[in-house]
Amino acid sequence: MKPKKLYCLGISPLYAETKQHTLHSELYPLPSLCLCDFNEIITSHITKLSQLIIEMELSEASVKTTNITWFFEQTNSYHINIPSYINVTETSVYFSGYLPPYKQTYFVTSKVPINEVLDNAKMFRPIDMARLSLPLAKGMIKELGFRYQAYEKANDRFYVLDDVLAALVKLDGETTEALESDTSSYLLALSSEISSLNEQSESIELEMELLAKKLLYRVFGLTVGDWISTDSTWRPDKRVQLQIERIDYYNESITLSGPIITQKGDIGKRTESVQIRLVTNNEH
Amino acid sequence: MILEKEQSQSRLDWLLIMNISKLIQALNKAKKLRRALPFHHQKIHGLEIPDEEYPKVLPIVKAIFKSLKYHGFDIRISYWGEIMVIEPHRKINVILSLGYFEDETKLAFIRKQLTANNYLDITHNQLVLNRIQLKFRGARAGTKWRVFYLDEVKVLDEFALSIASQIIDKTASLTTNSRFNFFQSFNKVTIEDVMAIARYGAALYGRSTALYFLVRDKNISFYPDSVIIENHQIQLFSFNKESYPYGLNKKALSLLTLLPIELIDNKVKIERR
Repeated sequence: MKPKKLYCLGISPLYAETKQHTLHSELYPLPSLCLCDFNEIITSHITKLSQLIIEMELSEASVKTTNITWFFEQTNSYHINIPSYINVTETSVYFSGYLPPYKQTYFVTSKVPINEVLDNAKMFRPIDMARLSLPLAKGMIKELGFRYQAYEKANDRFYVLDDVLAALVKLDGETTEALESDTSSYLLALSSEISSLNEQSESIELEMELLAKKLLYRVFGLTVGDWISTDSTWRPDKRVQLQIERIDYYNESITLSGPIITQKGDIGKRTESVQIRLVTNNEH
Repeated sequence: MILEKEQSQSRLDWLLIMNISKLIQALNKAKKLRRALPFHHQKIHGLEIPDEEYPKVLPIVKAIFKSLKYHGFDIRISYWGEIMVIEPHRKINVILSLGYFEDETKLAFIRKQLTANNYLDITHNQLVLNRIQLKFRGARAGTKWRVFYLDEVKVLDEFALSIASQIIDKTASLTTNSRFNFFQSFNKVTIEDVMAIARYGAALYGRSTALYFLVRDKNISFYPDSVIIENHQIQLFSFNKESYPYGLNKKALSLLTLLPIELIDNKVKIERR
């Protein structure tokens, strides 16, 4: 029986008692190696969890499993019955576990990108633009549009107020006379409003990002880490192959950016981006 | 220089007359104590398998013991479940071990690569995962483990017989006298044993026993000079004879008495060797 895809992961302690740092390794015996064969059971766990993450907008999900082997230096052998968990984040997977007398996980492995371990991850996914006319897509695009309007409004106000604040600060800095009480109270009110606007626009930005991610998954079936191959938005007659790393929404269009994929099928160093226009202008 | 001969172990005469069922019983009894092994500083061999696999493995061990006894071997089992086999003709000690092991050189290679990477694809390294192995080596410095895979065994009796003859073959090149007895603490309670149990107890019961605070005491955890257990109290002495007493409740005492310590007048002293 030959393992299909056997990986070895480094290990670090999850929780360390700071005062007794030198004693930590003997009180909490750490395994030195983690061996995982990414077979069907593990990969099905990973795909299930990563779907859950996207649908529920989670940052991390984990499940208990038994198919992971840990090597302990102290007993010089593999321990096959260590309670261990698969932890899946948006782009990576790692394992954690504990030695039985303890009841909490206290060691974790380093992270492995999901693309590395899933076989079907290294395939280019199509972008079907016709799906944008579905009612679900239309609703989400509308929602995104509202968010964007709010974002623009907040941003416009922010930049104008910033100019005013800069002028007032200049007045304070370049004249020898002290500011009047009214002016200084203006200054205070302005700066507080600017900071609140800043917070507001940041939160809207985050919302838009999440919404765009949701739209991309619901409509096109794409997530962060997927490989796509489309025509370049800016240079005609050019093909762009990239791995999605960032999803940005700006003015009725979604920009997907990430590292390019070379001819060999490896992840390259340069980054590229493509734009998907969500609203077509030709209304007949 | 320590020139301790194997005669020192003749004090354990009662072990020599153990029959096979007693040996198996001793292995079963050691199961409880072996859970503390990851907390022990020394490497202790024996059946390194989870508790659930004992029923699967013990018949094989029994067959091997039978053939060894038939060939005149002495078999000794320590309270930790270490299996020591004494070759009949030249009285050479051999350590027998069973579990999920790995080739040292392959592991060293992986460990070296892991210092530069966070993870590795080791599909082509041909590691032996999830296969129970039986291995033995002479209880000397620099001897090599001889490894057998249990899933390759077809006829158990033949395999057991071959193990006996293999042990005689492989120990033929060793001299009868060795300068060091590497297993001189075989079946003797050491301070390290007590500390290992204390660490295990601290992990098991947490703050409900004083063992939790004992193993975290910086003054003694490096290496105590001697240990006295008496009347619900454990006293550890540092090298300058300062004592660090800790109370023992029922839980802690029942754990410590898993070790074969004889309480004479409710008191036992364990010295550093």
